[in-house]
Amino acid sequence: MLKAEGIVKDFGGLRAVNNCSIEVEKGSIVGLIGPNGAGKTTLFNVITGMYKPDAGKVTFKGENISGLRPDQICQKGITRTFQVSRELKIMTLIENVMLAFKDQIGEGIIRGILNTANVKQQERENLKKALEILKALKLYDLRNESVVILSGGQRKMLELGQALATEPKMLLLDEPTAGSTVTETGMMVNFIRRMREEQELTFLIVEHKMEVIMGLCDKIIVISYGEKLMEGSADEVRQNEQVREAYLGREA
Amino acid sequence: MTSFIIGIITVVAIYCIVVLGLNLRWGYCGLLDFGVAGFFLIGAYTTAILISAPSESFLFGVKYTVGYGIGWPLGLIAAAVVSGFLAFLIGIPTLRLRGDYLAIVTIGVAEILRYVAINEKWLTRGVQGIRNIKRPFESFFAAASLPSDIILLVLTLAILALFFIIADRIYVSPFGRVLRAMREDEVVTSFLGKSVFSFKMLTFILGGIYMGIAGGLFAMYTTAIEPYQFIPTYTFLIWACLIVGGSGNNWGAILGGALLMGLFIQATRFLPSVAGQPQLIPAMRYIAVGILLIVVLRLRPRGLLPEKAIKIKE
Repeated sequence: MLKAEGIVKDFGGLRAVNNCSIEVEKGSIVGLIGPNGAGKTTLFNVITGMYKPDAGKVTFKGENISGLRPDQICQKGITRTFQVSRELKIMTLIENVMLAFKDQIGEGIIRGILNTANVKQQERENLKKALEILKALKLYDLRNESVVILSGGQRKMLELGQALATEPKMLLLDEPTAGSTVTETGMMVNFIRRMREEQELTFLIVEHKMEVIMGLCDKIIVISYGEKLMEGSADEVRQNEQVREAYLGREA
Repeated sequence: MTSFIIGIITVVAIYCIVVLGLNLRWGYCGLLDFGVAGFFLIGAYTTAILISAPSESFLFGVKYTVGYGIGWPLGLIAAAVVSGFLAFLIGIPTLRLRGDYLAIVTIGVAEILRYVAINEKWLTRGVQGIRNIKRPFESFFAAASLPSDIILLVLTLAILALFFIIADRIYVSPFGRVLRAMREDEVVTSFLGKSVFSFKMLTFILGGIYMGIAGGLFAMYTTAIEPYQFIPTYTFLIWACLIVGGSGNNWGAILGGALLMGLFIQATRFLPSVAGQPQLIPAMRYIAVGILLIVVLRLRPRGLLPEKAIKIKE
């Protein structure tokens, strides 16, 4: 479904991603792991249009999407979340989710001002959908609160809710359980599994918590110093000598 | 006295329209616009030049050709179009960049426009300014008469009310929701599939239209404009209005505009002048505004009427 081929990204003299190729099959959950600074987030940023790759190309469902803007890539069906959650503070949870729906008629300035019947109709429908999403994420009781009162894990949940509201075909989650408690982490893991089963969503996940990655992913890709080290199942990764070296260092 | 009070309400209402325009740009969308006076100027001069009767005059050996004798409604619409188009031109290179670039470019353009108004004498009569600008229905009521003042007041208040309603509807609309999201975090908003640039552009143009029409009304109110009325000080007075009133809140914008511009224009009117110090009393006005700004920011940092999150009823 998603294919990144020979991606290279330089920052000045530093090569953050070097000739990296990854593939994510439809309906799978793929984990992306690697030591700090390995280039995981940079790869995310290249795929989702924040950076243009210096070489290589990204294709989604056979279509070349490299060089598109983030909003265009989102329109194609790829939505991402962020390592440090970046929520919209003055807005309530409901507004945060309602913002994310696609093809909103009222986003046209004239129809927004006139608040025409079809705008109102769509707003009502979107409100209903937003409330369902918040219920599923156990955030319903906080729906009219500002985002500032949420805990770290709740913020991650809300961000996922926003991402789901864009009705994506594929989700890229950057550390979806960072800052979450054990319970929240469990909830997130279950939720991701359910989404895959119910909506056939495809996931690419960066995560540092190994129990999350090992328990969730069909395939794990390990990168180090911007290059792909290996890919395989949880067991294969666990037993791989190179991976252990990358994380723990070489034996003296 | 009646005429005097009507005049004050009119000019304060005109500035309130400008504050509403800045609220769209900064309060809703986070666009750092330091060129308010420039959009106000372009609107004022457009209307003034278009609605003045054609005339030629010679002053210090330069020939002036001012005036096209167009009706005032078209003059105001032209002010909106020209000011909106100016916003569009400024927006193309700057709205893709970080906010502070927009600030630098807008203040630069505003000053360039002021110098154009000073130097292109054939069009603007330079520092002499354009005089005898017509008011609505002037053929029926003389410019200095009470009916003429009332007509302009009603026109101004009607436009202010209309622009207030438009701004308020934008705030709660899905369009406005995207603007408020962009103000909080542009990156997130773009990753949620919103084309940030076009939302910014539309808002910037709409703000320009507000300021341009206010400029046109201002030209008709004063009946005489000159470049000195559009110095950057006014940009920052309008900013002070919005900050004091409450950025993001339209009622706050109106309150700030009324309070601060009222204070600025009128605070020292009843003070006696000091012999030998002609600059002293006018300077007090700036001190008054400064003190008010400091007090409000100290006690109510988000303004007198702060922005509130929208609670949605089910």
